[in-house]
Amino acid sequence: MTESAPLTPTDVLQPGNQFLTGDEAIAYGAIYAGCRFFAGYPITPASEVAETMAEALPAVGGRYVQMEDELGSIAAVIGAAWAGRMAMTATSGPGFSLMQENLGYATMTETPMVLVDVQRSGPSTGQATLPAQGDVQQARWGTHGDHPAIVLSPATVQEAFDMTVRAFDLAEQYRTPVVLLADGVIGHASESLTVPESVSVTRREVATPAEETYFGDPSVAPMPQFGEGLRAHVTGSTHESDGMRDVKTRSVHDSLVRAIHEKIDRDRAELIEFETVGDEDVDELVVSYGITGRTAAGAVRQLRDRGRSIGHLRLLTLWPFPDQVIESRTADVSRVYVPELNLGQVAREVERAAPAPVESLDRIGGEPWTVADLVAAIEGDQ
Amino acid sequence: MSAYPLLEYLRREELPHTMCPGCGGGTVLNTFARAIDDMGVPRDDLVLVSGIGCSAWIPSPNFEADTLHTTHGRAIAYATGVAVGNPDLETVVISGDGDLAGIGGNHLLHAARRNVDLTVILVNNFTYGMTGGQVAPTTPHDSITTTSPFGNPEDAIDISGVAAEAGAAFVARQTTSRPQTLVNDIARAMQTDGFALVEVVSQCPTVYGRRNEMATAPEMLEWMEAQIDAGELTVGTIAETDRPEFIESLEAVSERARSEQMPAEDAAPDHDGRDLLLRIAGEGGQGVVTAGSILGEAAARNGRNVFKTEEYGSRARGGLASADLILSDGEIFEAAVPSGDADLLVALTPSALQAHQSVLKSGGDLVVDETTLETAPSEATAVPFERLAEEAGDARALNMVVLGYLTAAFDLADVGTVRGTIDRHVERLLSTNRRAFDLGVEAAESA
Repeated sequence: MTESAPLTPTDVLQPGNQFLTGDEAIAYGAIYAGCRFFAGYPITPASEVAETMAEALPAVGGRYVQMEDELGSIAAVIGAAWAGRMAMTATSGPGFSLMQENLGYATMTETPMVLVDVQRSGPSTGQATLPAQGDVQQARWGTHGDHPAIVLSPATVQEAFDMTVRAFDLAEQYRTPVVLLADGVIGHASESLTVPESVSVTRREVATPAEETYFGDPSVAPMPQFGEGLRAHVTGSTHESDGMRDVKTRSVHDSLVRAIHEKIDRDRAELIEFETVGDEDVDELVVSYGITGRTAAGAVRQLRDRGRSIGHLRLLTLWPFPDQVIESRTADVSRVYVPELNLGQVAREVERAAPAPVESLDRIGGEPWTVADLVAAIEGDQ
Repeated sequence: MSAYPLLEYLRREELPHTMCPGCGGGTVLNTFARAIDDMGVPRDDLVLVSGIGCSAWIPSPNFEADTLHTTHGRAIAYATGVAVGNPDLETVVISGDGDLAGIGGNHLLHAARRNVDLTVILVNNFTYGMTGGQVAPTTPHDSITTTSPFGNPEDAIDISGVAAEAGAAFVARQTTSRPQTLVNDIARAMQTDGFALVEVVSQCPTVYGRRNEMATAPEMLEWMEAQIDAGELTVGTIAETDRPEFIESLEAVSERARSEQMPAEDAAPDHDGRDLLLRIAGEGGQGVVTAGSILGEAAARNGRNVFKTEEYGSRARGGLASADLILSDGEIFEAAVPSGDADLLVALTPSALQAHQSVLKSGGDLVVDETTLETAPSEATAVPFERLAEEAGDARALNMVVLGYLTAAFDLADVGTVRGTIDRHVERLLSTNRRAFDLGVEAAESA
C-alpha cells in the first residue's frame, strides 16, 4: 500500500492563539518537536495525551500503538528510538512506577526518549483523579543503580507545550531519557497558549562505521541506528564503548556509569532553567515549581505589593537539582518557603543546598494551593 | 579442522560462547544462521531482540547483526517498537520460555493478537537456567527443579497453543533433535507477514536434565523423540492464519487520519475584555462544560489569557456539572477558581445554585435561569435561558443561550469569534444552536 504524503504539524494544530489542555499541549508539542512514535496505556490523568496522539500522530507520518501495559509502552518507545524515531510515552504515578526498570535501561543504553508523568495523588491508587506533585523523587531515584536524570516541570499549558519540545531537544542532545513532570491540574485544565510557527530541536547524530565509540562518551557518542549496517550491540548490561558486554571489570563499569553522569553534569548550567522575581537582596525567598509555581508567583506578587521583601525562584528544571542557584539566591535571606503538593520532596533538597532556614509548605489531599492560602501560610509564619 | 561454514554470522571476537556443554542454544544459533543464509536475508536488515536468561544470550553477543538485548520479559514489546518504528527491518526475537512465556507472557499474547510482523523464536528448555534451574511456567508436572524439590505441583503452559489462540499468523513447534526441520520452520516463520512463533523445545542437561534423570544432551534428545513418538508432543505447524498485519493496518489508519483533518481557520481579532473569575453550573447533559469550552477557546483566540477547569459527576445525566473559567488580559496565577472568589456564578438549576453558591465572592454577580429565581437570593439576575432555547427551536440549546448572554453581558470575548467557534465545535442542530446563541446575545443587550 502506498501512503499519501504525511501532513505537517501545522496541519494538525495551527500556529497562533490556541486553547488546549495540558495533555493536548504535550502531545502537540511532541509532534512539533518531531516525535513520530507514541506507545502508551490509559491512565488518569494522562490518557488525553494518548488520545491526542492517536488522533494527530498518524496524519503526520507517525505511529500510535496502544500497548498492553506500561512496561510494554516504554519498551516499545525505546525500540522505536533505536529504529530511528523520536518517541514518547505518557503515564501517571502507578504507570510511572511500572516504567522504572526500562527507564533505567534507556539511561544505561543512552536512548533518547521522552517520558511524561502527569502526576496524581498517591501512594498506590490514592486519589486517582486528583493532582499532586508526589513523584519528584521517583523521577530522580525511581530506577535502580546510580544514574542521572533530566526532569522538567511545567506551571502552565504554554510551558507544557514548550517544555515537551525542550524535553525532546535535551533527549536528542544528550542521548538520554527526559522526564516531563506535569500534574493533574495542568493535564486536564484548558489554557490559552501561543503555538509557534515551528520549533528548533537538536537533530540526532547518527553513528557511521567510521566511529569507534558508540557508548559511554562524556561528550555524547553518535547513536547507532538499526538497519544502517553497524551491527550494533545494545545492552543494559555494563558494556565497553563499542557496546559489547563486560560485566566483571570494575574500571569498565566505573567509566561507563561516570560517563553517563558526566555528559549531563558538565552542562548543568545550560540544563538548569529557572525564573526569578525580586532582587538578590530580598529578605525572604519562595522556591516553587510545576503547578504550585503559578500560585506562588501570584502570592509573591501580593506580598510584595503589601511591601514585604520577598522574592521568588521558580524552578523549570527539577533535576539536575539547581543546588548552586539555590545556594547563591538564599545566601542572604532570613527564610526560604517551599510550597508543593507533597510532604516536602523539594523542600528537603532546598534544605540541603540553602544556608538559610527552610519552611516546607506541604499540602496533600488533591487540592492545589490557592494564592490566598499561600499568602496566609507565609504571613502566618512571621 | 574444517571451518564452520556459518562462521561469518558470528561475532568471532566474542568466541568462545558461554553456553554449557550439551546446551540446546548452539542448535538454535546454528539453525537460525542456516535459515538466514538459505533465505538470503540481508544481514543489515536484521534486528535481533532478546530479553534476560540463557536463551537471550543465543543471539547476544554471538550473532553479528544489530542486536537489542533488553530487560527481563520485555523483548517482544521492544521488538514491537523496532518493527513499527522501521517496518523495513526484519525483526526477530530469540529468548527463553521464562522470559517470553512467564514474565513476558502478556506481551506475547498481545503481539500475537495485534499480529505485528515479528518472528519470535521461543527457546523452551523447561526451566530458568541462568539463575540455576528454578521451576518455570513451562516445567512439566512433577519435574524436579531447585524450587520444586518434591516435584512441580503445577502444569506447564502450552505456549504455542496460547499464541495460536491469540491470533498468531504462524505457529510451529519443533525440537532441537530435528535441526533440519527446525531450519524450515524458522524460514517459514520469517516469511510470514505477521506474528510468527517458533517454539523450540530445547535441552538443558546441566540444570534441568540432571535433576530429572537426563544428565546428558543425548538423553534429553531421546526424551524429546520418545514424546513425539508417544503422541505426547506435537511438532510441526500448529497454526496458520491469514489476518491483516498490524503495520499495514496502521498505514490504513494514517490514510484515514489524513483525509479527516479539520480545515484551517482564519485568525481571530484581538479583543480585550473584562477580567473575571466565572463558574457556570448546571446538571450533567445541559452542556455547561461545552459552553465553557467554547467561551474559553474564543477568548483565547482573541488573545486573552484563559484558564478553565471542569467538574462533572460520574452520572452522564442528572449529576452536577460545572465549568470554571478565569479570563484576564494579565497573568493568571490561580490553578482553580478559589471558593469565595468568583466574580460571577451562573446557576441553571436550584440544586446547582445550592451546591455552588459558596464560590461567589461577596458582591459578585449571580445569574440564574428564571425558573430558578424563586430559590435564588433577591439580588440574582434572572434570564429566561430555557424559554429562549425553546424559542430557538430546542430546549437542549440552553447552553448556547447562556454562552450568548455571558459573552455580550460581560464582554468576555468577541461575539463573532464565539460564533465561529460554535460553528467549528457544534455538530448537531447547528442552525438552532446559532439562533439560541443570538437570542442570548440579544437578551444581554436588551437588559
